[in-house]
Amino acid sequence: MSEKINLTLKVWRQKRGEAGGFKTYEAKGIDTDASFLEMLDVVNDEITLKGEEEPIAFEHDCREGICGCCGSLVNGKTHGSHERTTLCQLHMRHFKDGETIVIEPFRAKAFPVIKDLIVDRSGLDQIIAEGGYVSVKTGNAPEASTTPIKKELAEAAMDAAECIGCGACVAACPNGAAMLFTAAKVSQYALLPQGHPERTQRVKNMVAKMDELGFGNCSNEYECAVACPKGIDVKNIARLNREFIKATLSQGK
Amino acid sequence: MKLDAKIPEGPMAEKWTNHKFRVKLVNPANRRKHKIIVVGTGLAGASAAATLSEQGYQIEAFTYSDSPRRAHSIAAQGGINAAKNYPNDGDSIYRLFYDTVKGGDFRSREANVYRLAECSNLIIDHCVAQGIPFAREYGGYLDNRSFGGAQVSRTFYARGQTGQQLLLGAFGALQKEIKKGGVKMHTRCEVIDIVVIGGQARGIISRNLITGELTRHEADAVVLATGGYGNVFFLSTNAMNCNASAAWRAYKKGAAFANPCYTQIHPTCIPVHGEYQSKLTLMSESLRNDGRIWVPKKAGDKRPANQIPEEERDYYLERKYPSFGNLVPRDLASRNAKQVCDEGRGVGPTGQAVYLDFADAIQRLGKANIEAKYGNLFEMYNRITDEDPYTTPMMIFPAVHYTMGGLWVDYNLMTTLPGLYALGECNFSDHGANRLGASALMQGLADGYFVIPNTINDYLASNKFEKVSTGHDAFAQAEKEAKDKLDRLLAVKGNRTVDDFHKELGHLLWENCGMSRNEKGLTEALEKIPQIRAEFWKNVNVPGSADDLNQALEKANRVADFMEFAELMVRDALDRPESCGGHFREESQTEEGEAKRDDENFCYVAAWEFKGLDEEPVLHKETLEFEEVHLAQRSYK
Amino acid sequence: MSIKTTLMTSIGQKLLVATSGLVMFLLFLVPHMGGNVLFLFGPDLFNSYAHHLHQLVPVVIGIELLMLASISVHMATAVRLVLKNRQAADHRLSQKSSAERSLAAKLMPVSGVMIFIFIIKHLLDFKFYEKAKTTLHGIETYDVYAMVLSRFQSDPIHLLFYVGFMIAVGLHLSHALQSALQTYGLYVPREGSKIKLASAVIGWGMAATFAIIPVVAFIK
Ligand SMILES: Cc1cc2nc3c(=O)[nH]c(=O)nc-3n(C[C@H](O)[C@H](O)[C@H](O)COP(=O)(O)OP(=O)(O)OC[C@H]3O[C@@H](n4cnc5c(N)ncnc54)[C@H](O)[C@@H]3O)c2cc1C
Ligand code: SF4
Ligand code: FES
Repeated sequence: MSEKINLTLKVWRQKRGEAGGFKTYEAKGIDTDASFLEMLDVVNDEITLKGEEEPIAFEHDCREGICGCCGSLVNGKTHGSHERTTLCQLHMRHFKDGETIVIEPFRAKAFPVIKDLIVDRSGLDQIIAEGGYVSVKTGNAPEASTTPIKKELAEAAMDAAECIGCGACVAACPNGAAMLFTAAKVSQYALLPQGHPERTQRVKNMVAKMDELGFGNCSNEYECAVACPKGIDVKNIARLNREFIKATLSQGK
Repeated sequence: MKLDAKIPEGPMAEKWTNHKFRVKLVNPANRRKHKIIVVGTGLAGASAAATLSEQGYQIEAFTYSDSPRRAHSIAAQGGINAAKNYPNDGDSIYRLFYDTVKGGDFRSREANVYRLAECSNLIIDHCVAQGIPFAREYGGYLDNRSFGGAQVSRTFYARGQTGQQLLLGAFGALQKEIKKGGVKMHTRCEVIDIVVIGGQARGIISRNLITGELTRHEADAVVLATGGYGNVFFLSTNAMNCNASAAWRAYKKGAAFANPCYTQIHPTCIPVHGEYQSKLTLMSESLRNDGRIWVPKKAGDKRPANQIPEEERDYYLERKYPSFGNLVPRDLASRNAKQVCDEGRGVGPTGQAVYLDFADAIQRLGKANIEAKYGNLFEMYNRITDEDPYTTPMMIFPAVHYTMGGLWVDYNLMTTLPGLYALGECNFSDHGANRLGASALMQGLADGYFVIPNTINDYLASNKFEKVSTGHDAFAQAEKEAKDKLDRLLAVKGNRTVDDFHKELGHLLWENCGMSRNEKGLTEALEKIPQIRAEFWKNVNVPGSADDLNQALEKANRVADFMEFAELMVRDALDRPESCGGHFREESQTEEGEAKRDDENFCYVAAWEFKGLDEEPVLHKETLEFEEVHLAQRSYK
Repeated sequence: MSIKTTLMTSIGQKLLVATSGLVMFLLFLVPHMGGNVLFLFGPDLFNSYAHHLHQLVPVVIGIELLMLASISVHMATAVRLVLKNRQAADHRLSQKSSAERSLAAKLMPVSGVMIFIFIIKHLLDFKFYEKAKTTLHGIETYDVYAMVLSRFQSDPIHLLFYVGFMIAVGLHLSHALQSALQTYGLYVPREGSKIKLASAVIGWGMAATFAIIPVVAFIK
């Protein structure tokens, strides 16, 4: 059964191009069946009608845990603290009446804050642009059943392909690394035969881009996997490393 | 305005092939000289932008998201249809075509649907080549599942995330072309007007959502792939940012809007919890395979489900439709749920829900079996509602899900505004009055990968394109209008939030132009909408400024368009007194209360032409001819 | 991409750290531990081991040079990575790490620096230290056994210093081994990993073995 709770929010507010800081808000009479973002909607309505400042800017779209738009640090944890749950799927029943909640944007050098809780994650797209695809032109494809693919491989590829590009792995990583994200894409194509013709270039270029953009270096601490709302596994990072070593060894071949 | 569908001559099965041969082509060396603007990077937009760039055109693509990958298409769960006939169960292009026309309740254009079915197989080939991890069988070949409205298994899927995987495939293709320099991508950039010069669409005005800057972009053609307008209802299964603005601007600039009243209401969604509710979540239709739908027999029975004895339960679908039972099509299931709730027999805290009960299935098949089949859905349900569907029946209620109406397009997917194209959910073309499951993804990708790349060249090759500069008066004018509108929104400084108005509008539409509609309710809505709109412009509160990231302003600008669009939608519904597909007019039903079409008088596409805000729009009719599939009443008893 | 540019990428740098670390581990730490254990079996065996080692001067010098190279690469690269990582994860105010992130992982830079300090001290203590002589089977040789005894006997502070630094070694190795393997592409799972367990057992086992010697020397 749902009930109403009162909360105190400490929210990171930052205007475009200025330094930011925490500000405190009261969230009163929040229904425990509401989602975290719906709670923010309620607070924003109040801020709007009060008219003293702008509502809290935060990114969201699908509110079903699939588009990858949402995400903030909630009490120091990316997407809040529930395993395999995006922020939009986190519900208020997990909070206690009277609790103080600290809300901060995802932090990483490669994710500059744009405004309040909104950060720029375009670096992730730039990594994909370096080879996170199969270069097949429309019209080139053979009949779909030409190449059978072992079910286990297809499933493993799907495990990796489930990444929603939310960037929580980067924000949770003590090094601000984008290894889990990059590894997920590299793995998907390393597992499937369609990805093989380009695998050497793909891994090298994607890793080089990742470094160039200021993402950090993996130190195998696995915070990314704990944070990932889609349960992307660190075995993909091992696979990325293997792909990278193979690509290096096949230098010039 | 004259509607010319440009349906190619010849037998149905040869139309597309003939057409592709007959259209004019643009020489590869000249393609670089043509710039095409693609608005939207969902399945339709991303696939179109990538493919046109592969052909050598210069593409500029726009999305309001921070990345093309976030488009609403990402949320599609169930699957994508194709006529591969891998299960060898009698499927064919012709059958897919037939099912789609019939499923659309005979309100779609046969030639378009046939082409869609033809392209369906190419889509699967292409997507597999892209490395999309479709579900496979142990032998390594592609797996299929069944979906509503068909007696064959033709749906390809990637777990419960088919839309995501297909979109990421198209997104990858787009990134490949961006890297190559063929596509210039504008993210966080909302298109807020279409620019028309010399009767042709020649550009757009966009707003940078971070800086608020308005920018002019010129092109030889503009392609809209901006998705559906389901969010006019406020609550729907669509992503929060889905909106009708681009299509609406196109309408106001001369593109006809077709069948705006055709909306699809999906029967199995998680019910509304409270006033704070911001969106609705779909639960896969597949649940109806094993779940039994019921409500208490007595109105106002507030006992918990497990305290209501068997004989006091009404399994109303099984009772009314003994042969299809819980598996009746979407529109019937939805309408019946509404009916029992209207009778006061709805359950849950709001009385706006019915039970979907798995107790029998669990007893029959065992919990483990049910878990294997639906485990992830049950988990999602539990995450949202905190209830355990293994022990307490699920509660579901219908919700707005998809819009079949959209910009009117001819066979080439061009709107009535020359040089302006519409693809995907944004157009009206293939689903008639009701879309079958797993067909929207198919249509979006067919339009983007295979149709537009074969039709747009005809326009580019047959017209002369004077160089236009963004200094042209038409650009200045459009930009000024856009700026004025934003300033006006900010200047109101009233007492109600944008969402508050949006909810009011949505509620009115849901009640009067939702699952079932009647003349009285529609007339009333038609009167009320202008009042809400006037109140909106008097009393809305939009904080912040226009030259900054301002989500409230973005939303207000979209809701302002919904306020106008809603009127057209209701007008269209009022103008079609027959029932068909998702459009149920209470005045037009059979004795048993089923939808009754009126083919004699209403076998047409209603295409509306804008005549000015205070003028009534003009209705143009595209008469639908059915050469292949014969008109027949649907029955599911 | 040439090998050089490859080695300058993040994964390349990680491979350098892992490889230089493993070189030190396999070519130095493991044999060194083996030798040290002989201390427990009395002066004759231990001194004879030291004596034989001295006969192999060219090999020893070779290994010493390799160690010098490895430690330089290991430290220089690690410092670069740590600095870059600090930058990459800037400005975190409320962030908390999960329960899963081990203390060993968190403290890698600290334990690394401690080990470096220890190595210098250790070299000063034993390598660059005037050594007494003894005769073993009629041959005159250094009395390394006595030297070890004298360094620890009746010097509890010194003892504590050594044992304390072995904790750093344990911490460092327990994360380093599994991490190096994951960097080489061997899948080390998050939960219930045998490799993680083995890494901890070997790391702490070695640290403990090293720590026993000063303790025994102190007691004797
Ligand atoms: C929950 C759910 C499940 C579904 N499941 C299925 C399924 O299983 N099978 C199936 O076939 N169909 C399914 N559908 C339907 C299907 O997902 C959609 O119809 C389809 O994805 C629409 O694709 P699209 O490319 O036309 O538009 P969208 O994906 O909606 O993309 C619209 C794009 O336009 C952009 N845009 C819009 N306006 C502007 C503007 N003014 N300026 C700049 N950019 C703009 C957006 O940023 C976005 O990129 C489902 C729908 C929902 C809601
Ligand atoms: S790997 Fe996980 S955490 Fe990282 S972007 Fe993908 S879904 Fe988000
Ligand atoms: S809003 Fe889409 S994942 Fe949360």
